[in-house]
Amino acid sequence: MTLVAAPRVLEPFVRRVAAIVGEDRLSQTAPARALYSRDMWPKTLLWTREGSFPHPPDLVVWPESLEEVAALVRLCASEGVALVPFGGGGGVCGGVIPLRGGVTLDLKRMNRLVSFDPESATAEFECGIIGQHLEDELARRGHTLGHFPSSIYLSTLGGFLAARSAGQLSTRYGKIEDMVVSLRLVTGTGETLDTASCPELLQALVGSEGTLGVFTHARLRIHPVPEARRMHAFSFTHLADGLEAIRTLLQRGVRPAVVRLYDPLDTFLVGSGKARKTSPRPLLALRGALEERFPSATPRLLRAALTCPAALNQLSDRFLHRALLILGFEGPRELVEAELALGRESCARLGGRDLGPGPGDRWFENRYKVSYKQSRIFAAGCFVDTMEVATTWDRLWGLYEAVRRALSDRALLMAHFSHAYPEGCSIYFTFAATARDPAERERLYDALWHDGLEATQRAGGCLSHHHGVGYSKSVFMAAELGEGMRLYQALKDVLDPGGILNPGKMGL
Amino acid sequence: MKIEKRSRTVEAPVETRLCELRAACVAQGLWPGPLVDLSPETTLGAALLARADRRSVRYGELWDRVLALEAELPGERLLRTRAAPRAATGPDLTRTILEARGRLGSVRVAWLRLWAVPGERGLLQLEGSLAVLISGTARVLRAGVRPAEVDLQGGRQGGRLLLAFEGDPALVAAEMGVARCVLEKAGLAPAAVAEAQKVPAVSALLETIPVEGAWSELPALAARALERLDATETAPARLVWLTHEAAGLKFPAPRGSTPEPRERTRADEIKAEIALALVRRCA
Repeated sequence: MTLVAAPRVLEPFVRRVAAIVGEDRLSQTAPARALYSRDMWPKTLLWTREGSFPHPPDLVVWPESLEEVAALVRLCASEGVALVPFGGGGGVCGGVIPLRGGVTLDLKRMNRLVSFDPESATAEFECGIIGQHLEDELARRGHTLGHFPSSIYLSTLGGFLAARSAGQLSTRYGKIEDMVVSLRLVTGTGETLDTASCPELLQALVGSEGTLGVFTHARLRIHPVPEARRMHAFSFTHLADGLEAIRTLLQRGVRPAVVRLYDPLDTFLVGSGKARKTSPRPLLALRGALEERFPSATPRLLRAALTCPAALNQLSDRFLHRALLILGFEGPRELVEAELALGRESCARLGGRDLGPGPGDRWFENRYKVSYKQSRIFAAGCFVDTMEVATTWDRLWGLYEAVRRALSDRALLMAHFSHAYPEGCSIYFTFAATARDPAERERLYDALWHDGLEATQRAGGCLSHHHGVGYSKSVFMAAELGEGMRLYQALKDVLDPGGILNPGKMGL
Repeated sequence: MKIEKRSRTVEAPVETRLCELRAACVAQGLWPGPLVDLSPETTLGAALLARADRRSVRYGELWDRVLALEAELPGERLLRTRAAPRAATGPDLTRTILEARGRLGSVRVAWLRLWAVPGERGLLQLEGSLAVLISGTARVLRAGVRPAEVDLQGGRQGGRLLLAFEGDPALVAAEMGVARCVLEKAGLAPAAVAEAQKVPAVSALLETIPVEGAWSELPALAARALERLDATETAPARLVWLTHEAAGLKFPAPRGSTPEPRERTRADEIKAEIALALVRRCA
């Protein structure tokens, strides 16, 4: 049975692509086209489990230089062929799904360090470099970017910039948009642009998810490897006290590298640094606990548990109250010690019990493991996804409650608060559910996302803090940007007049 | 004007005078960061258009402090950006509107970030050649501390660097300690000074030559600029903006010199095209 439809681009077009990159750097094989038809959006995992690849590209191409990218974009623009820039495929919003087929441009061969200037604390990289490789290059030179998303092994610099990504240490180092000094890109007409000569456009391009240009190079702010790092955990009687501790700490001017406050269910499943090893994600902890006790029955048990999410959520609300806060500090030793002392003081003032460095150190050791285990939950006939939203402190509790009200009757729901700022914070919801058959699971999945995001927008939260919009949240963009959508469309009109770049995304 | 104490933000129409904005915030124990109000009539709108104040690493420049805004687009359409600390919802439209300086829309209201009125202020001062002071400033920033104020001035006869740290007393002490250590490791001798002891800054330079570049390039650029100065020129150069990776200095212009006209670039054309496209989209 053919799972991937036959490619639609014609042979003469393919020959012209081959003239640019050579025969060995393009592919029209079914496996390649299936691989590039999706990213890590959980809904595509549901599709894949059903053997469905509804949106394959017609052609996958691996360019190696800005000149090749520009030539390929010019060719696609002249032929009206859609083009999707592809990094590591680690996105979780379907941002790289080729909805109109066409060419998928895998940029991972553009992975070089172009320049390194320790005096000015900057480095320029090609955008196809994998996040961990970028950090390795800098570490060899005694530096760091400070960007550590959990997808760091399978996501690229270009992907970070495209989606306005955040790393786990963002409270100190900022999000990727705070780290970028300038970008080189190819617009939808094939013209190359360097924002060093027009810095006004930099923040209009970052976050455009491949709709305004193909990012090829980025100059980044870097930092010397920190002299010291201290992790520390606290346990609060009530979640609200933990939130208050974070707010007061940030507003005193302290900049922890790590801020993670788990709500009671999340705290319970993650473990408070006692017997269980701290897992970076609660559902995996649940599954791990079940595996330990009932090795052969786990999928069935997990499914059974998720058939009554409302009851589980109510039990959690009734019996679980404690909230775990992990703080991490890094930088010059003297500053780290001063910040940790202020952290302890702020937490103690709000009744936070000092748990020492243990839970934080264990979290740090395990911080990337989750990304490679999710398919086991899907294999059990369930699904799990995360929704990361943000707002200012005055609206934060209302946002947390609103999303819980919207989802807790149909999904097991928990959250942690991370990526904190003096004026607000992000909430990272994890929801898991199951249904009788694949079609019903997909309907439930869509309904949960719809209701969760609608509740978010009503409560004044933003649609996404760092995963981006992609395809999955595209329909919410008009409500998110309002009249601002006209400005985004104006940018598109100028930078991609043919509408070939990543069509069907971002509400455009 | 509406101050939200919990999130430390203020919603202010652009007609608000900066002195009123500051007074209203201070009355609530809050502080909008350094504002450049050249006269009592300077408004928030004027400061946003002029991109006033670019020397504070701690507070960022004025545009960095704008959390959200309301702007009138062509066709009287009202754009209101979401007041979230950060978002991943496409281009940063707040910044895009500010950067366009009125070409895309006129700002009506801005939501600004606020800080606690600083509990402590500590000053470090050192003297040396312009190149040494530039290098010292870069070292301090690379160490990860965030001075509230960096005042660097100097010429052929040398100059002085003043670093001010503000905020929680424990953090001010730690940041000053780190900065002092970094500078001493570089063979420099910073001294803690009281506000009254600091060497005052020279008055504003009227005719100037701007010199901008990455920290690694700046000493050489500054040396070349000094060579071009009139031998009798005594007014020192001033640091006018700085970021983590680059800075701008202004040197007094030699007498009789005229600035070279700037050529229209492709970037200028693109910006004009975007403004036109927006007019069409708003029609």
